[in-house]
Amino acid sequence: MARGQNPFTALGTPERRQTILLAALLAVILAFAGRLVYVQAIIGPSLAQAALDERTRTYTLTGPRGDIVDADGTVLATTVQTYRVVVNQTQVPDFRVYDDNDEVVGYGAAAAAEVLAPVLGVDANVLGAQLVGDDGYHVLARDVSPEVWQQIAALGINGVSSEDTFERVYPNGRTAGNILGWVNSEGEGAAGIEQTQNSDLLGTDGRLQVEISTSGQVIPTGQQSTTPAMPGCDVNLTIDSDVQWYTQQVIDDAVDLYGASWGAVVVVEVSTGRIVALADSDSVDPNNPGATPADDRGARSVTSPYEPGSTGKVLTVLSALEEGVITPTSPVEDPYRLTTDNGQTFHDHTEHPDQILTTTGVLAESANTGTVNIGSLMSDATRYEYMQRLGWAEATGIGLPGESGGILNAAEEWDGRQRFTTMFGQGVAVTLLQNTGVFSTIANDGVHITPRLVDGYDCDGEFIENEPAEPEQVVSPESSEQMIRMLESVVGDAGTGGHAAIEGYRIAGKTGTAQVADETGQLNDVAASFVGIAPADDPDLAVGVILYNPSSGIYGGTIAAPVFHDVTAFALQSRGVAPSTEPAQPYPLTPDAS
Amino acid sequence: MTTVEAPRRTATRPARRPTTRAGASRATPPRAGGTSRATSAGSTPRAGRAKVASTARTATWSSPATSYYLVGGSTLLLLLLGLIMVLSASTVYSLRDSGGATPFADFLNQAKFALVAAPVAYGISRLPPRLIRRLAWIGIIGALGLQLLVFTPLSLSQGGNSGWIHIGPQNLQPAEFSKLALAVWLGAVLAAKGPLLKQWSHVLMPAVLVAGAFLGIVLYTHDLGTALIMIALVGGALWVAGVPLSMFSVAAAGITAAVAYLAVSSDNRRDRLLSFLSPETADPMGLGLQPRHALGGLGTGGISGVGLGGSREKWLWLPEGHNDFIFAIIGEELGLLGTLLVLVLFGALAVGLTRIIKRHPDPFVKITTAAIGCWIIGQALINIGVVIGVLPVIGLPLPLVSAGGSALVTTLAALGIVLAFARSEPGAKEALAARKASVRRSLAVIAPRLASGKARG
Repeated sequence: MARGQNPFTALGTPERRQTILLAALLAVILAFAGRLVYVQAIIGPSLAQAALDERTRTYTLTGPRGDIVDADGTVLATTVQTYRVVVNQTQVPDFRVYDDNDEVVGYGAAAAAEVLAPVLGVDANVLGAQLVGDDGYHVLARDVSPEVWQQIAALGINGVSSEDTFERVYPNGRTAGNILGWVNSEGEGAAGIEQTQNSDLLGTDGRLQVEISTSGQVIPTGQQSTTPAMPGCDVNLTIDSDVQWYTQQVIDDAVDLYGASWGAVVVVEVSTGRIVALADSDSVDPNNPGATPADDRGARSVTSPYEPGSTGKVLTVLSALEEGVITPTSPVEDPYRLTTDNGQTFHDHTEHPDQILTTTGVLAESANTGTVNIGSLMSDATRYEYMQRLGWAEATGIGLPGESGGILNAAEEWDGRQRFTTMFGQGVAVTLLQNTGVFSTIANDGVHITPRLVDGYDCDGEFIENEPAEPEQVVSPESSEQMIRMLESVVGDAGTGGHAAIEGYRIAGKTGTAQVADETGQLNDVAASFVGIAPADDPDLAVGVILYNPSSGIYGGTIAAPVFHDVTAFALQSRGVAPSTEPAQPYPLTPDAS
Repeated sequence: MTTVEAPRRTATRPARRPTTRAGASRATPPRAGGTSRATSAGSTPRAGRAKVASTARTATWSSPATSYYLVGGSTLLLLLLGLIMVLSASTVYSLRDSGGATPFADFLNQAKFALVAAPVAYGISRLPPRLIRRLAWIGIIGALGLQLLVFTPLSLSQGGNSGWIHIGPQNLQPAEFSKLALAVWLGAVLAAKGPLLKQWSHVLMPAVLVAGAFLGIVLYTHDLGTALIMIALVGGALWVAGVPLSMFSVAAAGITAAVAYLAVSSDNRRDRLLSFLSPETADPMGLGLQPRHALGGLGTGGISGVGLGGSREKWLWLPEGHNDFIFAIIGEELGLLGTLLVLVLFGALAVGLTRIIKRHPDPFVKITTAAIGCWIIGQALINIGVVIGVLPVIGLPLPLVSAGGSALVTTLAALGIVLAFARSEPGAKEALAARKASVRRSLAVIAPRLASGKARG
């Protein structure tokens, strides 16, 4: 640059010009470096958090429902992973079907329905209609198995996706269906144990937080946090599913054979009150409860009280024994027809000349007049108190919905006839479970244990026992022993329950044939029953059987006792109960025989 | 002249300037700064040692080979960093674009161009500057021809701009070649003008007129980003050529007005500008999306980064994360350390270019180098400025680093030209040859048998 020239109009020197340029560039670079320090180091964490929040998605992890298992751990109800197939209808039109030459040979809902319908097993036309529309979320199928969903996913139909769901399955079908109940479409227990134990069975949902890409994949290097889902508790039932299965077969066959409206069987382990089997005829299959008529879906053994009839005489005689007003061999007047002081007339089921029987004889022949004579030895209040303590007044609370506590008026409300009919099991109604409980108490040395169906809960590997109610000594062991010995005569040659006898085992029991009201309120229907104890010398089980309103045969001894025989024989062998060693020592049935 | 003498002379020349410890500096071996520090350290007091060290650095700095290594080294490092980052950043985009078939399509494309362009650039760096200058006119006519193809059916519209043409299987941007041709041609023309540049007419004819024609075509294709770079390129050439300040102030006023008009004349550009000026009101899923996610990536990276390959923004959150916004992915994966490294590398490139301009006697070389420097460094700073949120979204790739085929070829070719200039700095050829010989000698020490075998052969 020449001296004296105007620097504004003079030519610049390249070196100086470049120095200025470099200085400017380096200044910008320095400013950018400062900005980077600000963005990355100073406000970096808050920018990072905002970006993280935008990328993070939270998913619910479903805690599966607990299983229901029997006493041996056999799974009766469990939960399996399934898929709900949903469609975003707005994306279906983008679907294309290509042939081998990559030529489009079909597109949209029609083509999608054509390939999807065979996999789902539905009509392509019906399915096609479900694929058309502007609904962003439409359910195509529920409870689809993993195998089927894989086939659907392989089709690559635009807009079709799946959601994880859980399906409740009952691997044993109808076995114990009346006990288990089922769950509704929301996964809540709707019947049976599923309903009453719902809060224990329910799992606790967990949470999965992941960073995702805009197209939905989980970013592998992103942050992940998981709150694991907790499965619900397994419910351990007292049921032996083998005995339960067999019992259901037997009662179903009997109901068919005798044309009964329904039948039920209860098998109780006497030393614990645990229910080994609780069978109802035509039991529901919880996998498909809709296929069973609504009336048959429950457990009539606990929901339907009936007049126990002659089996109720046992309670009257037991009370009298414990009160000491009679002994097993006390002579009792047993006329065919008996008219009481207040003018009520009763008669025995078959006509016979007036006779004197022992207390044992009254039971063995199931004599009504003799029972009235025994019951009349006690006040109404005393008898009512025994009914209460032996479990006739309230529901057992075994954990089935709709359980009935029976129909038993207080003693002071009994009318002139009812105070006598309650002595032989009429004018009072109990469930089969309540009535079997009386025999279970007798078999357990007079100690009453409230029966139970739930052993306990297996929560995350920890077993929590279902605390049984406090046992209560209702009658003395002596009275119980005498009662059992008397009831053995019922099954003996002269008794009404000979069909209940089991080879090798001593059996004690009582037949029952009660008149019950039909739909018109008239006492035209019949409840035939047998309740017994086996083996009599060392009781293991109390078994109650009822066949309601049979059309062929009405006597408990002829239609209910065979059911008792089949069920009890199977249960005793299944449980490995040793046969009786001592022969029975029956009391005499008439006073002069001794 | 022997190959050993020349570097010794140039290396010791500045070392004589400090008068205090001349003896120590004279003892400095000429070839390596590191050795000089080691030998002098033992015998000198503290103050003297610092002086000697700075003397040794000056010696390295003043070596004629330094420009070559500064430009070549920073180019190579940026290219390698770019390939690595394109591989890391593009996989998810490639998977999406290929329908899940391959994650490597974008990377392989970039690698293919790098493999073609690097040898081309190397070849160019071996050409004498005289030959390059002779190609200036052929280049500018060829580039104009290519540029005119945007008016033909070969043009294809992409990203709102139609600056791309389709030749055979390849898409390319003629403007990329125009920039290269302009840089060389302006150097040749302006150098020939010399002192005549004091006159308006000689500045305008033919330099500004031809550049204006190119600029017009680029603006026709609605590519304001490339136009800005072209203005920077032409401005850099004119500036270093020495065009008087009076003309510059007039031109600068005119260009500023024109750019401002262009920025607001298109709805697209005006919206981008408004969303930059008030990011709070910008549509977070629309125009505000890229700047927001760019800052998100930088913030997520923090100081040390989430690690190579660990970017989250590249999972389709940040559009063009492997391309215009690759700097954000660098910031996320390599952190502040990575972004500052990129700035340092571009700074080193700028310093290297400045050295060539200052040390090379040929005005053609000075002007062309300045043009190329303003183009590449300018584009880098605009790109980075967009990513770090100090500029509105302009849509320019980061030179040498972003994925992008034809841009990489022309950028490397331009740097190849600069390397050719660096090699023709006075004394550079000898210094480079000496360096080569020194490497050979070192190898001979390590592997004597190899050396003796060679000697015998």
